[in-house]
Amino acid sequence: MSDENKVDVISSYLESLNNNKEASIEQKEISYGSGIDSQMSKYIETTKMEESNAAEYEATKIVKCRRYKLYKKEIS
Amino acid sequence: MVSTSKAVILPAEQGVGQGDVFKDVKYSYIDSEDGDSVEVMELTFPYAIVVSQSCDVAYMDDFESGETSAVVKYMPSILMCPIYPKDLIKHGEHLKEVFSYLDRTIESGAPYYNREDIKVAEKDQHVRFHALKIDVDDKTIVDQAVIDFKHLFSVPMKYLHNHRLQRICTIEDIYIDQIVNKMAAYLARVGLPDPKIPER
Repeated sequence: MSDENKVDVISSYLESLNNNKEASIEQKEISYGSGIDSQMSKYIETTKMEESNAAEYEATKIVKCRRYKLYKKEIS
Repeated sequence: MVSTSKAVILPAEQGVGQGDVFKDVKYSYIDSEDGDSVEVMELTFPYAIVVSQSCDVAYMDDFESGETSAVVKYMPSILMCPIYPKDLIKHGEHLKEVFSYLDRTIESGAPYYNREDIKVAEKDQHVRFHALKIDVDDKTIVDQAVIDFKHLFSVPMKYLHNHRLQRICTIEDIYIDQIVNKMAAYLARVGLPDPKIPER
């Protein structure tokens, strides 16, 4: 497997989780050992990252950071 | 050659455990505070793995589910290690946004995980870095990745418990034991003084 393809394996699998929450829930409800192989194949083989999403996805691989202010309020 | 960690994908209902790999894990802290407000820094790690002791994690998951409440076993947070893509950490690029928020700059070309580090880590002999490849059955789902033991952080169990859909897999026992043992060795390292630098 080339380096490029290996990175695709990570990204396509995670992309599929990002894009299809319901599918990922359904997949996680299948008990381990019953058809996980075909499920994984589906994630790996069917999701080729779109060129337009590449930059956005790349950005999520770094540690994202934000700073914000919260105003104090007593909660009774 | 990078050793392979075997993993399983657990149903979302299953509790959080040692070896769980999560994506997009948020870690935040109060950076400054005055009478009216607090300023919060929030980091989102692309991937991270649970490395707290197995029984402790299991207990806190039960605690979060309301199944137990033994005070002596309570822990405020769970220890995690970030996982970075190998290609992005070579020069510290994975931290560029963090450094920007800290008003620091990453020196161009500065080594972070250099060729020698890669060679040693891929022989499974690096003290700080663990080269990571994860297989579920015969499928590789994570590769070209690195755990950095220096970047330990912690999050409350409630956060992990509520984000179980972001768990991508769970590394099997013997492989997570290997990772945690390496982490323990890294934490126990002794820093010796440089004889050329006067003691402070």
